[in-house]
Amino acid sequence: MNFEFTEDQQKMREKVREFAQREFTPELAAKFDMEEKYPEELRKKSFEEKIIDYSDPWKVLIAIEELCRADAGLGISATVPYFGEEIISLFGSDYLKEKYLAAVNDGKAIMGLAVTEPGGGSDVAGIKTFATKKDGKYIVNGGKMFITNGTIANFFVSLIRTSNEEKRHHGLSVLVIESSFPGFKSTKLRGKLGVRATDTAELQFNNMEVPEANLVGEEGKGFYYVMTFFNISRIFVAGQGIGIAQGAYDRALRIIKSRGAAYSNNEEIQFALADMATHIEAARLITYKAASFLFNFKPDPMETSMAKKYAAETAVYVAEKALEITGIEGISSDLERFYRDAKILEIWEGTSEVEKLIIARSILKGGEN
Amino acid sequence: MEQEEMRMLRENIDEFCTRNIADIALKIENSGIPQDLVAKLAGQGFLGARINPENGGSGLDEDSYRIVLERTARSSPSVSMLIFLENSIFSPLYSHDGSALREIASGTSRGTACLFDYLSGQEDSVKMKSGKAYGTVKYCLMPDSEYFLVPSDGSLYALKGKPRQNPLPRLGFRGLGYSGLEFDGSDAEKILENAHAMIDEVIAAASKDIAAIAIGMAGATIDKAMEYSRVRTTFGRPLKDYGPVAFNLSDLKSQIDEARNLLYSASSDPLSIKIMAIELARKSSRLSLQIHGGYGYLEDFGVEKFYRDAMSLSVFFGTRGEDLKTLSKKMYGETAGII
Repeated sequence: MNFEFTEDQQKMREKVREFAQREFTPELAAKFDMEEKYPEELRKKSFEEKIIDYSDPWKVLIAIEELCRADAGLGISATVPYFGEEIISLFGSDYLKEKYLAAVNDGKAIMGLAVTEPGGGSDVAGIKTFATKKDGKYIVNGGKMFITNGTIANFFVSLIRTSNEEKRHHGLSVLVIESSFPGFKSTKLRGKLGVRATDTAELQFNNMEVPEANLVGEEGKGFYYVMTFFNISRIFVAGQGIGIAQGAYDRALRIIKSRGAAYSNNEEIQFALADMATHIEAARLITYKAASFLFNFKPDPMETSMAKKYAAETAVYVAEKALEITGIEGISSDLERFYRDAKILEIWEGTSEVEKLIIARSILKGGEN
Repeated sequence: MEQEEMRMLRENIDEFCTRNIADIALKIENSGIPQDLVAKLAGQGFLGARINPENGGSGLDEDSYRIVLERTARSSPSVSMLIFLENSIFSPLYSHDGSALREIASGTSRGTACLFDYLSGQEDSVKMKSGKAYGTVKYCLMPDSEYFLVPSDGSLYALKGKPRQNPLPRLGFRGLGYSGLEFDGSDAEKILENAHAMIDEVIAAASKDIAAIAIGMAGATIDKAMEYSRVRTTFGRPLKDYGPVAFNLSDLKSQIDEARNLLYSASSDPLSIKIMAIELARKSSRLSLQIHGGYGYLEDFGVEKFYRDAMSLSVFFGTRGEDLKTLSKKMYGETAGII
């Protein structure tokens, strides 16, 4: 068991921290939050400065932590152009990798993942968007909801029903859908509580033709591909949670220290700080443990779900505590944004309830220790 | 107040809110409380609920007033907070000026007491010189007011005029506006010497009023979640059929009902009710948002505002830690919890 990052990884943390401090100015973070605007320039800058380095997944996790520590809205926006990439890289054809992933990896395109539907998020197998085959093409009808990058992505990997099987999840497939396809429509969702710099939209597919070559892997295996992806992405969402929690903690600590020893010597405040720091440390350890399984090609869905659930709850807990102990000063500063941003982590990429189901099922399936 | 009278009052206010607030609750969040609604609130006697009838108020009793706060908070916490600020905070501190109170009660003017700097232990930075005010107020809710009550050097001053505003992040009660203020020669009148004790008294006396707002918010957000859990299905069943959903909502709803009973009981301790109610508002809004999932995260569903407002309410007029310190002193009968 080794709890230390390599020198290279440490350097990456410093590099991303410096980038975030330089680029995520308080004014910019407030502006994009207020205007609910995607920070396209920041995306380009983060790409040019190689803030996301896919050659080492630890570096990606570290980058997400540090970016969200500075600001979740901007941080997630800078890391999310690649959202869903693993589905194509793990299961897609060479044609799809070449046609779609190359542009994303060159910083020339943005992609997204389209799974959730208006009728349900947690029940992934209940997907209703349907594709029928005609003349070597899929004709897709239906819609998707709460889709990150919905109005800015060039294409989406989307989970779609291609047949009605007795076991619902056996009838699902993944198709790559371009936003330029006739019949595609996206509508930006405004008025989010937090992460307002990120782009979120509702998608509609109306008799949209998708080439057969845009099928990822095999028909009927889509559910499996998406679940595999979630077992990867949830580690990075846990990283968002650590970052938001750490960012809220940093700000609260700064305010508390500025009030002098008389204030910070108060045990009520000290206990709150100790609780916050302990939660963050625990979230970090559980996330790094789950990440080490995944990054060594031995993913453990239970560990991953524990990490995602705990880190999300930690972000909410720490942001709440931070506002509690800083009072009016806290809610009148950018700390309030961390409180708003944190809550999404208990909802997206599997709600905390879904994570608990995964954990419980793994426990009940397994033997005694 | 008799149960039947309370029920009728609740129904009347609910009807008023349904007709006049519910449909524009989101607009209030984004662009403030429209003047025609302010006029209607004044017409109902809400803006001067606790103001003496001689000064144009309706002179409601405490229970009736708290019912107004609770029920309006269900539709729009910002509207409820407006009524609270005028009746529980501004009016008791500015009771000597009948004409100003008449303006407040009629909705033609607004008055706000800039107490957050004082309550959070910040130095006074507005200074008075020859009847004029100079300096900054860091935090002011309802900065578009005509009257400002500002503590300075131990006294309380009434300031008139339109100070420059420095917008602040607005977590909660967005319908009222929130910003810092810069006074540069506004007319200032000293209205109270040695004002700190009086301010503390007014805030303490408002404990149950704050609790009424919190209980209104908690009740509304849990009712929304219960309604949603009846119609929203997952894995082929309505959400309410799942134990964790039903148990958590039922548990919180029963706690809110109990807290409401205590609120309207003359023998209950105001500070305890305040602490309990705010905690319930925070827990309820978090659970409600979670049950609504992604939809709860969008303003259209009218849930996320309770999550923001509950947190703001928990720090505006004394944090939980400060309230617990006061409560400990009362419970021990001597100073406690100071280390």
